[in-house]
Amino acid sequence: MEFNVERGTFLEAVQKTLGIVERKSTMPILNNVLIKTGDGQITVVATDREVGLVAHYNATVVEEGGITIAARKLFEMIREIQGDSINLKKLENNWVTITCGKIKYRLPGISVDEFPEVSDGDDIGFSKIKSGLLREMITKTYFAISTDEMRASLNGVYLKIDRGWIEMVATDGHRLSVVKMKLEDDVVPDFGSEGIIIPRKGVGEIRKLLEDDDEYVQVGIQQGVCILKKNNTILRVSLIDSDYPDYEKVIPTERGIDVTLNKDEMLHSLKRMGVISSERFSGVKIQLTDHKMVLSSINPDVGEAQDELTVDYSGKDLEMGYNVKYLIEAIDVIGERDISFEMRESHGPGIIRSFGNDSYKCIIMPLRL
Amino acid sequence: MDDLLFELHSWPRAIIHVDGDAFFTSCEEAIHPELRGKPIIAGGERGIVACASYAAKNRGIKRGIPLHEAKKRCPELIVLPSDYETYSLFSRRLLNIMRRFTPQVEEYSIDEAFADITGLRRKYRDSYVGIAQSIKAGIKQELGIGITLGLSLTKVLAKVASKHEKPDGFTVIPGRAIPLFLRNLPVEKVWGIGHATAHYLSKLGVRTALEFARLPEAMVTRHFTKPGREIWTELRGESIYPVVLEEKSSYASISKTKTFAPPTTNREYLFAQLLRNVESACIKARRYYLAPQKIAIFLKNNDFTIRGVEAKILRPTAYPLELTDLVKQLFESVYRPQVTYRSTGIVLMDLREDRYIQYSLFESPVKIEKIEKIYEAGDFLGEKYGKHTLHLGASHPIDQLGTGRRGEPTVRAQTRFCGETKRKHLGLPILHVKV
Repeated sequence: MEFNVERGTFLEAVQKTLGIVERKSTMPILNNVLIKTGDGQITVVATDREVGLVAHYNATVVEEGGITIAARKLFEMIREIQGDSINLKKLENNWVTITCGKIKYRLPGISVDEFPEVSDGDDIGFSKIKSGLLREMITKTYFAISTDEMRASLNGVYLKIDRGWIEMVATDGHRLSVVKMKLEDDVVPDFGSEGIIIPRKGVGEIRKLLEDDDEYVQVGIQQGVCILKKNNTILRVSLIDSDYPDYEKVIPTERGIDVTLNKDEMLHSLKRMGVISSERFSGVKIQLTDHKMVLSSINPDVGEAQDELTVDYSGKDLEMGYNVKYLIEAIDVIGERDISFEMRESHGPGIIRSFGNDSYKCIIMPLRL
Repeated sequence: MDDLLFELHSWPRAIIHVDGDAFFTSCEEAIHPELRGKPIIAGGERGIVACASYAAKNRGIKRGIPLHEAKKRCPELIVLPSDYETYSLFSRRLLNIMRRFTPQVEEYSIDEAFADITGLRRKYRDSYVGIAQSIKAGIKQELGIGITLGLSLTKVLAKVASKHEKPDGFTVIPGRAIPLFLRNLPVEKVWGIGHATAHYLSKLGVRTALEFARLPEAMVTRHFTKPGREIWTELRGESIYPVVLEEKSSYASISKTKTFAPPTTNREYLFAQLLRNVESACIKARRYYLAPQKIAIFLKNNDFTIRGVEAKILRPTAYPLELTDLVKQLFESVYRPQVTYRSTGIVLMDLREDRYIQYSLFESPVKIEKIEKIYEAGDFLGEKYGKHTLHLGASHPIDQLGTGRRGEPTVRAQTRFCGETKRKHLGLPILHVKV
């Protein structure tokens, strides 16, 4: 096997696999990327058996064949090579040379036969969703995904499509982030009435695929695997097979005390409070009184902080505690200038949304200080 | 060559480690002089040897062996119930004698303490060795119990010293003598080095404490985590573990184990014992505002084999009411009918601070608040009328069937007033406020 490929293309191709290849060595072959030649192109494949990536790139094929190579080392080699065109050649016993001008690397590979099968020729019904839409939904939910391995169903985002609306949800049990958007010219995919749960790592890889806002990405589901197609790339993500909790019942229906805030002002104020937090304590006290919002944080290990914002609110005075990190993360993803922060008395959840827009909500349970 | 590394002639720091000799039986001998020199053991109520006097040890009685076995080896053996109240009083008095010399005394366990006497030579117009001798003599004279004292430059070395010769030992390890004492000391005997580290060290070709201390710094940095590097530094005579005055204000884990007698096959009683341990450990956790993220339970059966299991807790909590379901599940997974059990134990692990409550979306805040209120009241009642005044129904069989005691109760237990708790009887303040 031998081919010539443009350095920039090859670098990008290998870089895209780095998030997927395993770091652990339980199955050394999974540290590798598979590279095989095709008709005027090479195919680069990576998998950790949960998430799989298959991508095609233009190349000049000299001799057909395939090999797997340690992904991280290969990436570093290409990165350090100065030059335009790279030649990759498989020798006997699966050794590989990578040459560019006078630069020459020689390293051992592993035979293609040992690499797990990652299919790329799925013949299933694909639907189209705009990249920008999907990416925005991921950004607005990703931070709330649970890291607690005990609750497998919460270790991913929940995605549901219902009568022209697409909804994405993530929760760690303390806060819940939900985005609901109208599908327009997008062709509605069929996810079944149950919806699907995409694991955290898969969500991260999907996000990387969604670069251009106006491009469309094709989405399909087959036997517990979510398949995304874009141009030369196919991403396969094994879904979490579990029931998602009944999140709709924790979204309050009655209105609380609604405060309108400038997003940047509030975010900066919260970040000032965040300086005081530590691993052991990250609380912020929020008091509404006399058309002011007083934020304060006291951490016996670090010190104290206080700040004040002039605000507009309807309802009576209030005093609540929250985890400052939860508030920051919920507000940070809002693109609009103003936000609405709805609070409730007696341990009721708080809700963050962009002002006058209900498509994104983050429900945050208070922290009793 | 050895000595080049440890050329420390002066005393950059002088640290004492005091270790009671067969502490429990020593205390018994101190209050019952007629028992002095006889083979006695404490631990009668548990059916095993908790502590054996040196006279008993000489007849082959070891800590942890069952009573019947001990009696076989030494028919004239005198078996006493453990009288922890008396032992704690002796422990307190021992610390107070040490505090007379230096305020910097650390209570390490009931019969072990560290003291830092650095800089006191001028005050007492005496050498460090002289001061250490005075402390040892003071304890012996006032308490009438035997202790062993070690004096060296660091806590780890002071421990090496006090282990060197026992009982009634007095060992000084000055800087230049460090290699002498470490040369023949197996590395696993060093304080803080456990099985795993010892095995790892043997793979690196290190068998003695001296070999460990003489590893080059680069190698120690590369192969060991912080505790390993710290022990290495201390072994080389450079003190980094301070003698800590404060009572512990935080714990990494809290464990409670209780042996009952006679051993039982009664499932309900066994589970009650386990839950009572959960309750006790939770009381302690709440006192320090801690809540576990993991819990382990174990059951020990009559031939001393242990079966245990651990689990992660979804939301850290120190309220037994919230843990019972999980504990029940764990119990069911290790309990075997028809097996005779002698003790149960639990460990609360991965403790984290629990002053604040993060409410959860899928649980009712009101329920959490209610449980919290119950235990607030329970802790209040506990302080006033004794621990476990308010307890779970499932741990109630203990109050019906008794905690189980074998043999005679201690004199203190017999002379307690009706309704009086151990703590009240002794007048020990709960938070050990120093006088």
